[in-house]
Amino acid sequence: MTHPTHTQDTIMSLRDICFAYDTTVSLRHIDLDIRKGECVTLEGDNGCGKTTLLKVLNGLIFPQQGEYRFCGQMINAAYLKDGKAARVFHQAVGYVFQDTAVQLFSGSVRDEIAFGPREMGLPEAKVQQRTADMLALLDIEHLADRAPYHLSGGEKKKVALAAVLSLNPQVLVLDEPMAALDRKSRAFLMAFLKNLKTSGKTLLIATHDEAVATELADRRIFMEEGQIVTP
Amino acid sequence: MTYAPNLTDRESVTPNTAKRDQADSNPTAQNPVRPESLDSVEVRLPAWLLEETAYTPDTGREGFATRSLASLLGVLRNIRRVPDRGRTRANAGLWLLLCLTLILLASLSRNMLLTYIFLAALLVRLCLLPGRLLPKVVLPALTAGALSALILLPAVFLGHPTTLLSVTLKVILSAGLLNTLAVTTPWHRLTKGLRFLFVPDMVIFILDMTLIYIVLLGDICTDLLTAVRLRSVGRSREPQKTFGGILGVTFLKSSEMARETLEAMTCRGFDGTYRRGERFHFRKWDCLPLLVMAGAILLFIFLG
Repeated sequence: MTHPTHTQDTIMSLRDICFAYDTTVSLRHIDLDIRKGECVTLEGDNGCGKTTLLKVLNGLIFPQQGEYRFCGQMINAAYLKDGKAARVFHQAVGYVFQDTAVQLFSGSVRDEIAFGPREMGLPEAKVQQRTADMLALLDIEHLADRAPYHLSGGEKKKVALAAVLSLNPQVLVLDEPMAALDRKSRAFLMAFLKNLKTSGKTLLIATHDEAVATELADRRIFMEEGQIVTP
Repeated sequence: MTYAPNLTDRESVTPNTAKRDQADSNPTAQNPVRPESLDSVEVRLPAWLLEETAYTPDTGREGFATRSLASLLGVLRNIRRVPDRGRTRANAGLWLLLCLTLILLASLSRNMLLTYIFLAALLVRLCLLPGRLLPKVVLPALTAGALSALILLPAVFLGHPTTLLSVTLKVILSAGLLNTLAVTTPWHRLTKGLRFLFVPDMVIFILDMTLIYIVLLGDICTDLLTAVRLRSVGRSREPQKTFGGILGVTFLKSSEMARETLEAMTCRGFDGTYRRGERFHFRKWDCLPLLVMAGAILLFIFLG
């Protein structure tokens, strides 16, 4: 089997990754390199293994076979068992869930965004600065004191994105970012992601949306039955 | 009576719908920012977001989210992981009845031989279980036995050592029987089996719904804890606040789900009465628990 070329710019590298939930095989021999500053879209039908792959990349589940390296460091259960290492890794890789409703747990949007920077131990002035920047950046200043649970789908998506971005991760992983959004929210999010890409952030987006892939992707990856395929 | 609404009657269209129709013919009016106008959305990223954050956490301790997540996942795994077939072929209600009968007979009996025989039968049953299920049955049963032995320890010093032995063994037997049933029978079959014991349909339905909701709300909690874990990149200053948030969201979600379920049921004709259509069909495998039960009752009568 030929492996993709590993370069110094490679930020995430997967080699021969296989993963199964009990008896159901979800990922089969995945080889993938993601370079710094690149925007990659993962496309494929429901149940083809996109979300499982994103979970592997976020260190939420560990493959039964193969190796995953982030910035050259092998990411596995043993490595992430060390709390300090896990925190550095989770700060570097931000993950926005498909269902953002289950990602928001604070009493107000402001607290939700400030949660990450506070966890990082930043001085309160910096925490406030980051929170204010994120509220302004995602145009949700008017929602700052509202409870995230009661927001609309598009607003929740913005809050979740702001909450993850406030950690300033190196890689932003998004699972179906445009799912269940109206046209206005889609347009905003698309423009936002475009800007984020231009600024040099590494983006990995699992999507069904052709428009997202054509507008944003530097490289499109197609999955079918747990494998990466050539369209 | 046939209900046939007049869908072509334009006068019955509400003013709001009429406005929407108008807006549909003019997309700009309905959507001020359309997908094509991406360039008009200006996003200026703050300087700190353009630089890499050099972050060194000050602690290596596992957060409460990781610990809670692990224990919650364990509980959910235990509820889910009972295969639907291949373990018990007889009606679950009969197995439940057998367990309750054995526990009752062992409790009523003054002859320890009966308890020993029941324990031997339980041991035979355990031998037929897959090895990975044994700890799930044996450990809780032994723990319950140890706890009761501890409570009854003063009886030894008061001159009644047989009480300690008798009660402890009966506790181990009861816990062992119920655990064996729990690990070999899916929850939904057990609740369905309650019908055989003349438990009202509504109670069975509530039990079913409760179990489903435990799993669903457990999944929501798992997702929330995962989100907390992913963003818990340092020492949490107010873990209780985060935990309160998780419970709050779960509570809101549960009330929302309960309301939606009721609405969905009402839409399908639910009027407050729940009726199960299934009837009990006797199969050859149902003879097994009935035979064991008959044998146990005969032994009880014979041994006393």
